[in-house]
Amino acid sequence: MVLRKPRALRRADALFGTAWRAAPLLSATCVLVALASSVLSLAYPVGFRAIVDGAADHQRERIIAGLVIVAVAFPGTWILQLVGAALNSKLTDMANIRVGMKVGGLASAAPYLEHFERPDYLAEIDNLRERRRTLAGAPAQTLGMLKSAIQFVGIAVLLALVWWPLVIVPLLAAAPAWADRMGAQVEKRSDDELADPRRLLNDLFSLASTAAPARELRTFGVTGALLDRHVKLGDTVNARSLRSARTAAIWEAFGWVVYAAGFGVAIVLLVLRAAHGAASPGAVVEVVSLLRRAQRQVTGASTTAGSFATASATANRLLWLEDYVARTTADGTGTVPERLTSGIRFDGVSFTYPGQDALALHDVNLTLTAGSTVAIVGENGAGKSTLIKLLTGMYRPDSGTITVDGQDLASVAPRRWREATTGAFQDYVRLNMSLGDGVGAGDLPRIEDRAAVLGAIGRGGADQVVAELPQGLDTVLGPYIGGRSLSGGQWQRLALSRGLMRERPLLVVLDEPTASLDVPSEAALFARYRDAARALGESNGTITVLVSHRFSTVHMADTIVVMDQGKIVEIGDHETLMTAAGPYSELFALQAAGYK
Amino acid sequence: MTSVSQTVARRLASSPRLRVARLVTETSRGLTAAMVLYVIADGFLPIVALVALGRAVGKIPPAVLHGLGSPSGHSLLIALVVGTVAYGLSLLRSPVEALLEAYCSAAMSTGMQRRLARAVCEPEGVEHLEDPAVLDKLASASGELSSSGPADAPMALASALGDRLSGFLACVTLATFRWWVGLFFFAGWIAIRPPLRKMLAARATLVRQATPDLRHSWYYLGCSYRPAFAKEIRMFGLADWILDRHRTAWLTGMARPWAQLRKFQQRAVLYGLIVAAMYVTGAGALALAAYDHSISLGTVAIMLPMFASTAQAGGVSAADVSLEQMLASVPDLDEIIARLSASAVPGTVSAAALPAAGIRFESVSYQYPTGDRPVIEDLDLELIAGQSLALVGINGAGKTTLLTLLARLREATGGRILIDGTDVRELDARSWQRQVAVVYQDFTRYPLTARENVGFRDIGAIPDEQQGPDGQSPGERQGIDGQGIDQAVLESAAERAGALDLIRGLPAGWDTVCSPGYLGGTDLSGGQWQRIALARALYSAARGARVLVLDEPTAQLDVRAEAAFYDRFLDLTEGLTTMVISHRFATVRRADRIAVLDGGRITELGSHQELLAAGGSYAEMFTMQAAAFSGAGRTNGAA
Repeated sequence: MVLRKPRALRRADALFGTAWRAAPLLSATCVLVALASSVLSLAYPVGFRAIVDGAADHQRERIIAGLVIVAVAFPGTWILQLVGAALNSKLTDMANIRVGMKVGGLASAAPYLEHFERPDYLAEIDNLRERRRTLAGAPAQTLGMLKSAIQFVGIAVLLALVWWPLVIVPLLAAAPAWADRMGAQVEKRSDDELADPRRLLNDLFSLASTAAPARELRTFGVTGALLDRHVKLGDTVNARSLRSARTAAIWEAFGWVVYAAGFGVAIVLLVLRAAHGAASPGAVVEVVSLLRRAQRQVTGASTTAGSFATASATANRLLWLEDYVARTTADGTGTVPERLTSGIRFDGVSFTYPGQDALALHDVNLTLTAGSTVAIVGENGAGKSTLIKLLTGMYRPDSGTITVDGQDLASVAPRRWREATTGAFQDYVRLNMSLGDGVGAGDLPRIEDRAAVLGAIGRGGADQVVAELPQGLDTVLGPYIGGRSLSGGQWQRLALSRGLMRERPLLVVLDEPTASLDVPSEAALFARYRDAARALGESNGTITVLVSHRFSTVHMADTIVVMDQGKIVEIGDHETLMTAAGPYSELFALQAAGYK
Repeated sequence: MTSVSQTVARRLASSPRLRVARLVTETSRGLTAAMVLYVIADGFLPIVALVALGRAVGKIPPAVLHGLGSPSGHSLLIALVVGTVAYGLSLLRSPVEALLEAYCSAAMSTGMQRRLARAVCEPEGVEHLEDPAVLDKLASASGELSSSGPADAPMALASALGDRLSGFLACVTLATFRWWVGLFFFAGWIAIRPPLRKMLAARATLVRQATPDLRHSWYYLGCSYRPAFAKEIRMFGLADWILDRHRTAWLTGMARPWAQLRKFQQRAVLYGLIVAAMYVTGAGALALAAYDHSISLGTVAIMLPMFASTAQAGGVSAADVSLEQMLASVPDLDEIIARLSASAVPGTVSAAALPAAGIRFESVSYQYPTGDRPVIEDLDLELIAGQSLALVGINGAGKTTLLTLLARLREATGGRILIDGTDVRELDARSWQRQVAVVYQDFTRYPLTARENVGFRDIGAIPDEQQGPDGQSPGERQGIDGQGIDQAVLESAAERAGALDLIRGLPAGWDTVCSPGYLGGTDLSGGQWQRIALARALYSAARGARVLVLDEPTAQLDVRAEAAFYDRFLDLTEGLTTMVISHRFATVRRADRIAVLDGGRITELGSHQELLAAGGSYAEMFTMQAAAFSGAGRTNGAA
């Protein structure tokens, strides 16, 4: 369901609502401090005038009044500014975590993977991730703008009270603001043009400073060449960005010259009036002070407006993501059976990846019998992983239906269906946390249950990995957070263990989970797993789907599905398919040749 | 006396502010001059404008009496013009600052990135890039940890200096009214500033100290929106759990910096009382003198705005918070550069044309700096030049470590490695490394064109036809755009790696950028990348590398491509000293000799036939795997 609130309101909510909800009391305090400090700082020039005119006219009361105003207003503003900066800093911190959680929450709440696999969507998300700080800064910026606005209006009123034509001077501030925007546009255009070179510049740097590529740079002997390219590219990028910075500065200077001219004319006229007795000297001092203040507000406001525009663009991206999640979220009412009795069926299922033309799956009809082990084979790009993604509810078919014991999967909430599935993938995740948590994450309710975690580790063949670590399950893994590094195979065993945490799944998918394991481990693992799968299959009707290139493993499955170009070309058990002398037997012979 | 001056010198040398200033002077003289001018103008112009305008105000009453044509009228007009012009010029601060900032940050960010890049490329090994301490400092120095990177520090510092100067001049101006008023203001601000600044600095340090917690927190957040995590996050329903961990780690990390902020607020109120005292005294003295007519109206008009301007002498504002953060990461840069350049130990003997006889490991041991026991222990092994050797062993046996030792990416902690009898440590590391062409298990996917991805060895080479008689290129620096890549060798390497058709099929053929993140770039599949990585190594071999190392070269290939690979194995490795690391026997058995690595040592060594006959662990592994194809079907499994 798409949210019905007007877009402007939602954007405002993204910009400020986040901070407000994160810390209502703090937000309110920040607003109050901003208000108080703007009012106090306006009082200051008025105090000046009282003192000067009091001195000129020898009026003791006016001098004392001015003295009190100055002595209270300045220190007051000073304190409030410091306190305000500290409060704003904390508010920004608080908003920052809220925004991060919001973006992360949305990205991981979207039920399907479209936003992670379409380059244009992924670019939006990357952008949102990189700029989320600007969104967090929006409340503080808005407070700054609020302060500017109050002071600006106050200044205009005070100026009008002295001599009404003076109001024109602050209005001339439109000139620098406009010129500033023109300059910003120039810089934005150049930033857009330089996006790719800048990315490459940073990519080159991270290549030089990351271990794996650094090894390659050395063995190919191109560290020097890479550094040279980094230098040359940096020079090009700098030359172009400085050109636009110069143009922008000329625009900005032009705007200020206009404002300065206005200021000059106003002050000269006012002093001439004073010289003719039409204005007091105190008024001149007050006006000078007010106009300086106005100018500072303009400078501050134009900087803030720039960052605010960025924040607003980021807010739009957030709204896009919200809409995307709302559009794709499907809360079906259908339920998942406790145990499978008949199985999972694909009926005329076709699927095309969003944003692509070629069919990834073409009219797939397939029955996975309850309690069976099914292997899927085929060359790269045959559609194996796509089939797995549809099966685990990471995508929905474009046409056709997938049913679980007769229940259409389209009417089951993806979250609910996934609770009944588990598995491991070739592109497994190396969770940087304690080993026990990383495995236990496979079944969150039992993450603290050490026996359960150890059991899964046994099933995943990772007992040796744990045994070799001095702190066992409590060993923190992952160099990024200062934990231990493991080899690819060790990580993979842990990923497999995680996938075997759930006790009574209906579906287990093993998408090349042993690709980087060595031969004895793989054989032992699969043999062990097969026994467990049989038991689960009998008690729970659990279906195991295995994707593998290794026919040594594949041939043990009850059913083997051979895929090619998004279609199923053969189904049957090993003997049947070997006798059929089709694609399966050909591929099998190809691989077996290595062992003859 | 000397010790005092030494202490002062040391403190100056370690001051991050001075270091930032030095960074600028090192980068560009012109920029330094411009920034000095900026600081002076920024300091003087506002004060000059205020003083002139104040004088003009003072001349108003006589001008009223005598008219503008009188001498007082003239000095009124002169003061007015001077004040207005100075003020107008001071308004140009913002564009000038923006421009200088652009120059400064361009020069600094590329300059610093260059220095860092050069520093991390300096050591011949890669151990420094696996050291969390170095990685932390790298991250901090490149400004990842704070939104405002150290590159913005010089301009922020110049801005602050200009303010300081302005504030000082305002105090001087006040001193011309009453010397003690000027002194009181100056002393007051000077006294307030350091403790407030120190508190802000302490906060920046606390944020830096919280890095480990914040790193956890960022990692968890990253899990939630990185595509790589998407499937498992969904399958295991980890979204809320991960975000909760993110939040907890973040709040833990920020607790102390926040507490510091609270302390800062309390102090601010306390110091506010001092500021109030300064204002009551200063403004009181001025008001009294004005009432007595012991000073002129002009003096009153000049002095009043000075009170506010003095604040810049001791101002601590939001900008200071970010300045402190920027400065906090500056020392890391120097530290990391010093640390890395200290670790370089160059050998001198050229490795060109090596090895002609072979490579010998003599009781070689290796232990990771963080490890508790050696991965490789007392290992003896010989690679005969021109022959191939397959290395097999269980996961974690140290196969990849052995490869990095061979390529001198690490230095053995015991024993020695001899190349044709020469200790590898005596060889020029760079020239030896270039003799080794490697397909790494985790090979890199360069965001460069297909041509550069394959002809990687020559991305910095000078094209033959451009080479002058003395070997110097006639053009600018070097041919660093891949013009030196030999197209014929490129095509043959790609062809042999089975990558030619796929590259020709790319949108722009050889010129296609192999990364979806770039305009016109393309995403390649794992299998396609694997072929490109293989082609990359074959190109390198064809261009002079004598050793070929293949670490799991078929891991991402499908059945047909893998079969094609091992059918061509002999052709690919012909004439090269080859080491292949693989789990796949179809590849392994084609090697001239096979070594089994177990427990950090070589436990079996021989040809496929010899090892099968020996009936050791190799034979066991092979028969187990082969049995799966023997048609025995579903009954086997060797549980």
